Amino acid sequence: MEKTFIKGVCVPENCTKVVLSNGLKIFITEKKNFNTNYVIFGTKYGSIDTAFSKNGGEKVVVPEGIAHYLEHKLFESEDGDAFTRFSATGANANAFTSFDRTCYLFSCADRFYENLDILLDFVQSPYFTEQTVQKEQGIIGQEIRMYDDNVGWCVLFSMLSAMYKNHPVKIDIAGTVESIAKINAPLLYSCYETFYNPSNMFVCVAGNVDTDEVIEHIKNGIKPSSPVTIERDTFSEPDEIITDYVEKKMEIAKPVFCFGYKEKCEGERSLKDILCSEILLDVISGDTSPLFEELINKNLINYEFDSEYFQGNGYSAPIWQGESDNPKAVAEAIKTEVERLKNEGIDEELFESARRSLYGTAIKRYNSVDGIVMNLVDCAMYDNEPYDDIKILRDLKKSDVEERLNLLSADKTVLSVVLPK
Amino acid sequence: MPQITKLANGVEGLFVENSRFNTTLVSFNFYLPLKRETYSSNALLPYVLSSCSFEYDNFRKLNIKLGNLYGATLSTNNSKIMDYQCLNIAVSVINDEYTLEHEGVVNEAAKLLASLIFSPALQNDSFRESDVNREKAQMLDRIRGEINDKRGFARQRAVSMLFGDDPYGVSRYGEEKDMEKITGRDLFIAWERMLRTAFVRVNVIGAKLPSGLWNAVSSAFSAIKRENVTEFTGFNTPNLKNTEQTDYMSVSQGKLVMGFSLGEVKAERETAATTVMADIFGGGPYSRLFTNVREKLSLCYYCACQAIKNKGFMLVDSGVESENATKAKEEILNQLEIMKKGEFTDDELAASIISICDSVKSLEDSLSTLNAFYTSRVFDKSVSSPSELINIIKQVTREDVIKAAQKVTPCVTYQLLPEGK
Repeated sequence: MEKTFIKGVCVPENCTKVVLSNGLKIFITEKKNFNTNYVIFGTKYGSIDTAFSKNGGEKVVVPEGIAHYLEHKLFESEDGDAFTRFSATGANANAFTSFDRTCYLFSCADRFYENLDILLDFVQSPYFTEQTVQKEQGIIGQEIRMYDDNVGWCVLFSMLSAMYKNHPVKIDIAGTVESIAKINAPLLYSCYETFYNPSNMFVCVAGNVDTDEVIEHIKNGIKPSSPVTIERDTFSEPDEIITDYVEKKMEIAKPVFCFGYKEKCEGERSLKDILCSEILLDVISGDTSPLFEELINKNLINYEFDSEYFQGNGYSAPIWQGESDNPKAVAEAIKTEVERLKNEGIDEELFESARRSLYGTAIKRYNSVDGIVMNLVDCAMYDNEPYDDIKILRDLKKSDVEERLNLLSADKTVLSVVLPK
Repeated sequence: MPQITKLANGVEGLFVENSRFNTTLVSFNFYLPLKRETYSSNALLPYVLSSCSFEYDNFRKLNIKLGNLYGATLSTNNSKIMDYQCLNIAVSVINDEYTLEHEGVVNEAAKLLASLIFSPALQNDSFRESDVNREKAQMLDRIRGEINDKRGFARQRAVSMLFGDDPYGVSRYGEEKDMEKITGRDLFIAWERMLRTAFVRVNVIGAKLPSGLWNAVSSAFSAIKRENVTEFTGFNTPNLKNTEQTDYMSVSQGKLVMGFSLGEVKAERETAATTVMADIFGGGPYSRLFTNVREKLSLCYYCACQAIKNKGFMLVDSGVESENATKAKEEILNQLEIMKKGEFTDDELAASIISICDSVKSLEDSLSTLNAFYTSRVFDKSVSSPSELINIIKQVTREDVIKAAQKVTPCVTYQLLPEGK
């Protein structure tokens, strides 16, 4: 077991990082003046992991949506479901699956160790039968249909489908009604045995806890296993887009758009690259930018307009989403502003306002145990240290951000629009 | 315990000393009578006030200032609490000791907030039409865009059906036809009325009170002729309507929302019993609606209830397939009958009380929920802190819950179903 104490930077915080001999990563931040404790037990396994091999074996291709399906099914065990167990302790339990991770969590004020035991136990106790797997298709089918009516979700996936030829990031996290029909118990066990190995997992904790006691508890609660090696598909995604414009119609009030630049597809972006891109987005179109002022005053956007640096293993794209009666004009204005910034450079005042703003956001994270744990999960997933972002933001230069502009090519943009019916 | 200071006629300052946060929140709340004729202009007011001011005469200048205050966040809200409309403008800022050069940002942010409220950008006893038109366009988009969120849209339809002509039925952002007509002069009148007649509560939650804030608020109000100040006189529960309505739209998933009367719920103990009753019925994943309607019968993806005790009604909303809507409705009513007959288990009662107490205990760990707690309880002198609320919840008995359930009567059913089914 390796144990490291990490002292906070610019905040009176600290964190203990432990790596057990089976590879499980544990991050713990004590917050002695809080009532709430928050824990995530997660795995680096999400919707994009649709093709993989385990321990050098043959490549397996699994149905889209299986990581999310597995998340639903893991709550059930042979003797009841985890929610019932948590209901006796008063904890608030939940789970989520994203493109790159599946996380099981609870928050509670009392009976922390009982809850931790339940969490460790149910995530390590898969129980799938053909009958229970079949039953879930109705509920997940309903969830998929609910997202089919969510315009923000639809406009994003339409854009991703026009941007990515092979990368599974273009597929809805929950899969499709057709793909989940192919899921069965043996497939779920195969995914479970590959990705739910401690060497691919992490436990992150923040709250009014004692670090050493938590470590002991987790050590005792983790079942013995041998580490696995996982080879994930590299996707062979071309740099080119498929098409630069897509549209569809839905029952909505005003056209909704999603516009993005496809960046060169490489592995994972570094934390510094991600922070620089976030500052760049703020400079291009944040509410301090001349572009935002112009678009609002011309009534081309409303305050729903927002941007995000959308990135993960094998994909990255700065994207903008919003409502507009003229999405093409908004996309053109963004492209023009990007070219202007490439020629003229970034305004020092806007850079400084954006840097301080992002620094303030990082500081505010320590106001809540869930904010702290979400950051620890990112650290566990991508091998960062908890206060790295604060350090980077403290020392960041305008030129670091300007370099990110070179990744944006005007011929690799996609505009996705949903029009009212 | 929070400290309340009287600052002027009908103006109070509430300071909750809480050193667990590294930010400070200052929140101005204005309580006005809920009336249809003034609702829309009142609703627009916080948005215009927080977009610019006499000193920062356009929103970009203001946003750059906020960015330099380390991403100080301005937030606005407009809500219905009992028979009152509450307008809220707040700022949240990191504490001075966490800034990069230990600058004094908290006092500056508090001063900035006060200046937005008391010194707006005016022109001849009128708000500037350009500011009003910009924010009106935003509000009209919000009102028209309510249809984009089908779950929220269906809930609002059910509330409107329940309340008929009672102003509580008005949609959150106001009425489109009223909003379109508002001029800079109308808004000036609404602003003066707010400063003159609203009951005002300024909430500060943080490590220390920004110096001079109470004096500044007192002196700002001493220059205003305070009259006819909003007083709490209890709330009126109109005769809720009994109707059914189904709309058809191009959606993938149907929505079923049922509205119920809670009957007379006035005493603190009755309110607590209703809280527990609604939680066992349709609160967490251990609730009767979740375990039966969703899990056992697979009739929907979500099925949950929310009791709005300070207006005497309850909503059950669910996402269903058309063919399951009738079955889901029958099962919801069946579960209500089970509550009325007291056929819930002691474990369910215990789970609910533990879970509610756990959540209330966690309120103190979040600035926003703590602020919401004090904002919604401004007229309720019987409970002054989350810990007092926990004591009352713990005393709720099985008989109290049955009594609360027996007062519940079904009133309206609203369905939003896919076309052609």
